[in-house]
Amino acid sequence: MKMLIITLITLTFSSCRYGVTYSELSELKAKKEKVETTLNSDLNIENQKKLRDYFKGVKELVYDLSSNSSMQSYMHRKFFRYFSQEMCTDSVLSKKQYDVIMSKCTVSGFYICSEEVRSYSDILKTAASYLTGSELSALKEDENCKKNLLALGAIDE
Amino acid sequence: MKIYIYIITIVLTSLASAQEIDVSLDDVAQKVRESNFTVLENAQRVYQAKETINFSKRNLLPRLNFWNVLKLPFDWLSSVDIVQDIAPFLVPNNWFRLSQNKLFYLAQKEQYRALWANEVMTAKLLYLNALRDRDFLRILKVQESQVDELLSIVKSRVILGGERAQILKFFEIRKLEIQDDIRSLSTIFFDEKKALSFLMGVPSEKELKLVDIELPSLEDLSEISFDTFVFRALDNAPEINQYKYIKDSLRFVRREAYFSFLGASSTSRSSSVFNNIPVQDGLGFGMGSSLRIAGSESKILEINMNATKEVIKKNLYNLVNNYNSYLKNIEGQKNRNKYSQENFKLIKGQLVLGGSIDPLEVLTSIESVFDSSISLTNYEYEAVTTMEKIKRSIFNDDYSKKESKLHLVIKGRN
Repeated sequence: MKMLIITLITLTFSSCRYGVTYSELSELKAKKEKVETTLNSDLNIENQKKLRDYFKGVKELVYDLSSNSSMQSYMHRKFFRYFSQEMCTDSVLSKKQYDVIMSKCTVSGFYICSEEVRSYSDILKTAASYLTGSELSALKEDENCKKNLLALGAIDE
Repeated sequence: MKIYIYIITIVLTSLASAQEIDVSLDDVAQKVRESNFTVLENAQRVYQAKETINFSKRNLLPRLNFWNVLKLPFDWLSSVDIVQDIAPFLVPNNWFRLSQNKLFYLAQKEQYRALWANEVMTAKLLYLNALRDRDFLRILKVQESQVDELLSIVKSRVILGGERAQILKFFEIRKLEIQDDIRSLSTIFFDEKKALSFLMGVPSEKELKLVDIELPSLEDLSEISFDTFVFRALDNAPEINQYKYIKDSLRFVRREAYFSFLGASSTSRSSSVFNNIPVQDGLGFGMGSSLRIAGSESKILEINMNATKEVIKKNLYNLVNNYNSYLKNIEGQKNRNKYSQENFKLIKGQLVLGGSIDPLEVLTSIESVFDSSISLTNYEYEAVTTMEKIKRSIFNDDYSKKESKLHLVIKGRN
């Protein structure tokens, strides 16, 4: 009985944890939209916070994925159930948008944005490295997504 | 015989040059990263924190405790006790300790990043200080030669009866004072080089040869503003991130208190930071107190985090203000130096031509040239030093070591 209770508790906790991560993934879309509002304005502290929220959000997701093997297998199991072609455009910035952001991040020779902004390409690359061949192929089916990820250096041809 | 002397001389020269190491400002950061004793020691602490995660993970796997197994035939009820041995992964607190240790590892990495950056900055500032003192030495030697020149003129005048003998003594005293200043500054320069060797992990027997840097032209630089840097300074500060990770780990201490009725964890924490939070082994009335102490600990961490933020902001304000003040006043300093040089040339010319100039007036002029040269050089180095401190506070260039989680993400494994 004791064992059963413990097992149930563990399972409940772990499923909640991944549930949170999936909701974080959908939150990225909203964060990305906020970033897009900063593209035509100056990089003030408010806008820097918007950039941080999005780029840190991406980092946190990839960190959770990279540091938890159970989560990786959970993702592989559920990938095709949750995956849609819009996910790529909804959660990843275009190369053009990213370049605009990066051009604003250097002032008088100093880099002033969050470190995650500068490391975006590397973060995406790590995320892609956790996808299986079929998952990557599904991602590449959308030509625009493929081109964008290639331009950002997240995937290889 | 002569040939032997030549050979010995060549061997000794090459041995002496082997003890000398050329070091540029760019080499300093690299050397500190590789060989600084404090950095190396702290790297070991990070390694230990990482290994504690592995220990906590492996501690979730079954293990054999011979004495508990021996107890079993005599006391069947003790089979419940050996859950910790045969299935430690069923004890939730073992998982919570693992999660805590993961966060402590990240906090330790941030501590390492802060220490590493401080050591790099200390070494670079020491390098710049040493260069500044070497430049001061050059200026002092120029002053010495000017006083020497004046002394010989005054000597001739005294011999010819044009000056009082006391004036001569006065100049000789001044010359000796300058010589003593040169000696003191040479000693300071020597000390600085040895301190730099230590920070760079270079054996004391070796002599550092500092390569000059190109000082920036301050007129070409523009003023900076606090608002530009404050976001990055706070966002990337390891001192703040460290508190965030420690505070984050508190939620697992709370869970430990809640689940203590399923047994205490057999894994230790890699940090002693929460040792003051008591957690009962089993269900008891102490849980409320444990939670309240954890809550209070959270408030302490919050207070410390806010204090650290304010310290960072205060330092940044001072740096920006200093930097801008150097830029604003550089023109005045250059003019001061230019006028004092012109004045000295004028007075010296009149003196050489036999004009009735008071030697003390010439000495004052020499001192004015010296003061203005020192001040100008100091301005140039202070601007570079302040720039270096700003780079440290926003983790740019040599200080751009990545935040713990980001570093692990980019490495692609945990």
